[in-house]
Amino acid sequence: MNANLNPEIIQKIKEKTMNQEKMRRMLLDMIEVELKGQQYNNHYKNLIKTYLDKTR
Amino acid sequence: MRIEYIKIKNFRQHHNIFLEFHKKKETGTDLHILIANNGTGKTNIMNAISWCMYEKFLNDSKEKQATQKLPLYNLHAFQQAKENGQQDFPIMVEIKINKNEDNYIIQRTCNIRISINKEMPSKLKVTHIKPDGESEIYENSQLEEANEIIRSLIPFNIQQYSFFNGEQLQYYFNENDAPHIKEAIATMAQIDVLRRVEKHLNSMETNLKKDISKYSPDVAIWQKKLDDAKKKEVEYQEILKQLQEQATLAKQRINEYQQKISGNEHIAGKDRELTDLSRKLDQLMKQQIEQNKEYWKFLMRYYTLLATKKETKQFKEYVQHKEITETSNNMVDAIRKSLDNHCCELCHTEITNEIEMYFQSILNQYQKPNIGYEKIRRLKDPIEEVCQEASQYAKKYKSFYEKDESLQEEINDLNKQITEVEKILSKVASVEDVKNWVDEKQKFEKQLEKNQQKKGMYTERQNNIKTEIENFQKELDKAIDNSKIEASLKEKLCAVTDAKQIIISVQKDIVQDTRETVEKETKKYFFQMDYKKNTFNDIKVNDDYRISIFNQYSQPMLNSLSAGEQKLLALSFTLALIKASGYGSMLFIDTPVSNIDEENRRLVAKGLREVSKDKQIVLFFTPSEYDAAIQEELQGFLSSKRRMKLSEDESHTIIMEEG
Repeated sequence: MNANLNPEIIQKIKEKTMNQEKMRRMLLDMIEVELKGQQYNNHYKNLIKTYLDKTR
Repeated sequence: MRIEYIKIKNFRQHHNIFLEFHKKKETGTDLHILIANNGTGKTNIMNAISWCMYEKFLNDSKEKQATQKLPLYNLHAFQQAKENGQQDFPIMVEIKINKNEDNYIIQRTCNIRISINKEMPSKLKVTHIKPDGESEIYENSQLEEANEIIRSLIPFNIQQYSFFNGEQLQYYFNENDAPHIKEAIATMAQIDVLRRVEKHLNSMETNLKKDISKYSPDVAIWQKKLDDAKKKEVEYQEILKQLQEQATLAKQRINEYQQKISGNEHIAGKDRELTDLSRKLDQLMKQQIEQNKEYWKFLMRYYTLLATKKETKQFKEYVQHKEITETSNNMVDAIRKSLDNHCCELCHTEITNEIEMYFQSILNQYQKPNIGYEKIRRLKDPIEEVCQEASQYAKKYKSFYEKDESLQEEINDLNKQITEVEKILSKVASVEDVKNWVDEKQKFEKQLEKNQQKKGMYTERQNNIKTEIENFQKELDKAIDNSKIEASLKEKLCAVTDAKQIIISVQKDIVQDTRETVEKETKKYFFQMDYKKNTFNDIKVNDDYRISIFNQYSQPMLNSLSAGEQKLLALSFTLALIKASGYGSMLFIDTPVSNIDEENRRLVAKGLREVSKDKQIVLFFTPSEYDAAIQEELQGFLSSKRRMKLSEDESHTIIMEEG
């Protein structure tokens, strides 16, 4: 995934989410949802749920 | 990224063409030119690419107008197919794009139903050939995936910076186009993707805040209510315990007194009974005395009456006789009057001789003297009363006797009762003690009764408070549940807010970096292509992507640029945009040097030649544009050179390879 994402964005997200691997994953997945033009609502909810489950 | 080949069948002027693009190994340039007169299908090659990828034509107003009139297909070929009796007429455009080590073959086909001259829906097929040689095909039901691949190669929004008309370049300096460019850059740099993420996170944040506001868990309030109720319950329990102790004590005392007065329970009653009986006896004795007094009065009265009874009787008889006599005298007077008047005083009838004689006889009989009659008559009633009273003696005496006897009986009875009670009381040591015990016992009994009432009241209160505790507990549980939901929502809100902040921050950086990159790259390309290195000193791109160019004295020079210089600047800006987008797409320019003089043409050609060393460039010239100056600049660097011309019957375009 993220092959189509501007590498600059990936790099910036990496910089902004140092030591926050799960947050980085979630943001990149959210961007992927947007790149695919999918309905955000359920996807975002699931991503947040997964993020919270993993960070607890 | 570069286009490897283009295949076009029956699309506008192009009946069947195949264009392959190879890099020139010797120079490393990827520069291709097509030379053709206007109307031979140069622009339609770019339109074919655009239709193949996006099912749309290039963003060209003239072309838009044209497409409203021109059909998609090649008219001559269509007519021929119709004459041949074909049912369908196929249109096909296929392009092969190379990106890094992956290859993509994009093919769009469309059938024209000849009988009704109607375009059927087009079909897209994308074949992804991976570096290992394996390929995946996306078509029909996987249309979304196919389009997704195309979007990943060159999004539609930015294709205008890859496939454009050279004349378009001058619009970059039109102020009205600046917002459009800014939006395009946002798309190219995928800032719009970040904006969408931000917008959606923002929407989630708002919804979460709204949801949180629905849950207002009053845990503290319900906890306090519950605690207070529990305190009251303890308080009532304590009171009930005390009441129970008091009741036990009272019962104990009652039992103690009960034991003490056991067998003498009636003593106090007997004592009171004795008092009552004595009081009653006193009253009866008084009544007897009064009755005796009455009796003596009676006897005194009747002694006289009875002593004169005989004389009274005789006097009464005398009065009665006198009364009769007196009554006769009245009758004599009446007879006498009747005789005098010869008329009866009673019936007023005339008196006959016979009656007269009879009346005379009566007169003779009753004509006697009347002495003291009135006096005697006045004694009649008293004498009658005395006689009457005297006759009542026996009856009254009997009444007195009976009353006296009854009273005496009552007195005797009371005396008897008093004797019996006194007899009972005489057996008890201390009546007072028993009375006290009874009083004490009654006092405790009353206390116990009050205690029972209080106990009932507090038991009810305790039951009520238990119900309250149950309700408060339920509310508290609910509030705790809500609190958990709220905590969960807050946790989500926190994650969303954090994510949003990062996205905003990244977005800000990317916007800034993109602008800086565009500025830096524009400068790099421009100074790489431009020959007046000592004239121009700096290029600035502001936040709204408006370009400014300055001379060595820092004076703005944009309005002083020649047409060629403007085109070079715009081209530099375009290349910079492509660079900043990260897509690295190829460049297809139609009439790149139109309306510029020879010197400037040379300049543009030289610049493009330099850029083609690391970017595929395909240029469409008219024969007049491709003049000696251009040829000279591009000589030796061209990867391919083709000429296009219409066939003799003008039915289609013929492409010829040159050197």
